[in-house]
Amino acid sequence: MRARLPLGGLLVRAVILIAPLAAILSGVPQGYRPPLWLVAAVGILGFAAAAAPDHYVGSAALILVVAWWVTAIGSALPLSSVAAAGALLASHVAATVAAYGPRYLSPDRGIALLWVRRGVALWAASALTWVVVVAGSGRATSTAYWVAGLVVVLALVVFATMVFPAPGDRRM
Amino acid sequence: MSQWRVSAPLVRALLVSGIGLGLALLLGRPVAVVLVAPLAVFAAAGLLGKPRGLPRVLPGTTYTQLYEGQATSSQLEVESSDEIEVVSRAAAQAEHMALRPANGAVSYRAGRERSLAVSARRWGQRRIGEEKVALFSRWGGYRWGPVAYVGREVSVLPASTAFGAQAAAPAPIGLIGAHRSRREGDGTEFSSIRAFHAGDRMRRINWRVSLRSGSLHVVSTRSEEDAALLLVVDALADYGISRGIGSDESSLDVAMRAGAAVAQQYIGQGDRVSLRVVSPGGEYVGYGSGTRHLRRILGQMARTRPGLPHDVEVDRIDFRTVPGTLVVVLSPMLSDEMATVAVRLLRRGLPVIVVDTLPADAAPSVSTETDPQIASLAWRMRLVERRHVLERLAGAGCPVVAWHGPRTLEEVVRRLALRAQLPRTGAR
Repeated sequence: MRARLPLGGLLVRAVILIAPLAAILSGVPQGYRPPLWLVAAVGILGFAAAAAPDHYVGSAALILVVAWWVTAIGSALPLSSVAAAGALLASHVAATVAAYGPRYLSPDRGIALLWVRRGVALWAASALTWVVVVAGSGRATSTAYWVAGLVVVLALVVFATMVFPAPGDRRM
Repeated sequence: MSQWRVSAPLVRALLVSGIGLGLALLLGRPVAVVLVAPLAVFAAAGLLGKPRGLPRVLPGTTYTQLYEGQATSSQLEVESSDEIEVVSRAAAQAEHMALRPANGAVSYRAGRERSLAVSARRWGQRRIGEEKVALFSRWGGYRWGPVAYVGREVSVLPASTAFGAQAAAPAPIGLIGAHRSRREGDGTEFSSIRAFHAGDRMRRINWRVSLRSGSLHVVSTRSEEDAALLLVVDALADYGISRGIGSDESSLDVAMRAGAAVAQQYIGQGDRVSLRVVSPGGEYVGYGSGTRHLRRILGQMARTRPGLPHDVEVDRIDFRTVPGTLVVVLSPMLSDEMATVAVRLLRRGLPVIVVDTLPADAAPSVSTETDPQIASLAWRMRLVERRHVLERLAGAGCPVVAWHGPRTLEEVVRRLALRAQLPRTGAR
């Protein structure tokens, strides 16, 4: 017997599909209009992510949206980017909830509420970053500032690799 | 043994936030930091939530013996659950086992367990469907499983409805019990007033009659005895479609449920009941009474699988009857052997009742290669033969009744009891 998709599962998958589109279109009110082909590509990738939320294909839609914002906006920082970050996060969180079980699993209410709370808290990180960057926008930013940031991130990645080695590394 | 593996959400968060931060640093675009900051925090939290040890998962059920229609909960005990955030379970559908939720899938936060309810819809030895279990660490960063667990076996007893029968047994033969005997003894049922004999109890003297007649008279009563009941279940084949309790019944469903109801009724009033199933397994339970004996009978019924007996011919089966046993044959009477069995028991002088278990809408299951018209004609001919057998059985003094619920036998048993009390005449 083929199990039907429950209503809860349908809603979660609708968020996975629609949220990346909302993220790429959230700049439209401020004049940042993406090309139609790109919107279509994000839609197709979003559909693939909704169909297989526990597959890595879901990353492609999000990466495409981030890449467009980086290239289209330039060094500007509109408020709509915070909304776009929220939409990207909503898609990711919905895919996380959907990946907890088989296609016909109806999401648990307690788990959904937990992730809604976490989503709101995570979105605050985006808003905070926006406030910090906008507050410091009047000051001149040297190239050394960005290079220092890159070094810090790389150091964090190396540290994370040491603390959490992959299973294959332990045998060596 | 399954290991903890990085989950797809953590990989996605690492990938997107890594690319976003890389673009931000290389191109100097702060918008990328704003976009991926939540995913970066998510990835960090997921990495920090990596469990240190492997979990121990112990599946189980609350009950391993159920009646049809009853439910048990399929539980899952997870050790080292402090490192686990979400438990996800998906049970496969099994024949005649209903699940709640209907799709058999549940997920819940560790420590707030939600059990899977499993309801048995048909008697027999049933196995709960295979269950797949997956565990997720905090922030969904790591996944353990899914690991498949074989479902546990559950013994499903036929459902029976308790009722109080008023009819006396046709030929009670025991020492004590609830049925009125033909013999006089220490009972409460009035029999007669007769002259005093040596050995009569003083409290039995009827003083009014004694004074009037001038000699001592006593009140005599009938003794009370228990009865023996033999249930013979025809499991040579199963006719009709079974969709579980409360839905379409096959002939074997009717036989088992009727047998369970009759056994419960007779054991409930203190009688001794025996069971003999005509099947490959030849399930047999000797005479006995009490709740444990009833459980034994229902347990043997649940083990029954239809088919022809391997080791003995049907008409040579020893039913181990005792004098005065009431025999109830539960059969669709589509095999000549069962009719022979009924007649053989009848000729031993035992009261025999045949309960017709063939469902009204029963039809033969034929292969696709068989012409449906020929199959239908053959079935109709078989039904005509069956009607002829039933008429001959009734003519031989063996009542045939269709099962219409727990009170089906009451009227028939009452008539048999009346017939047993009539004086017998024999021709020389």
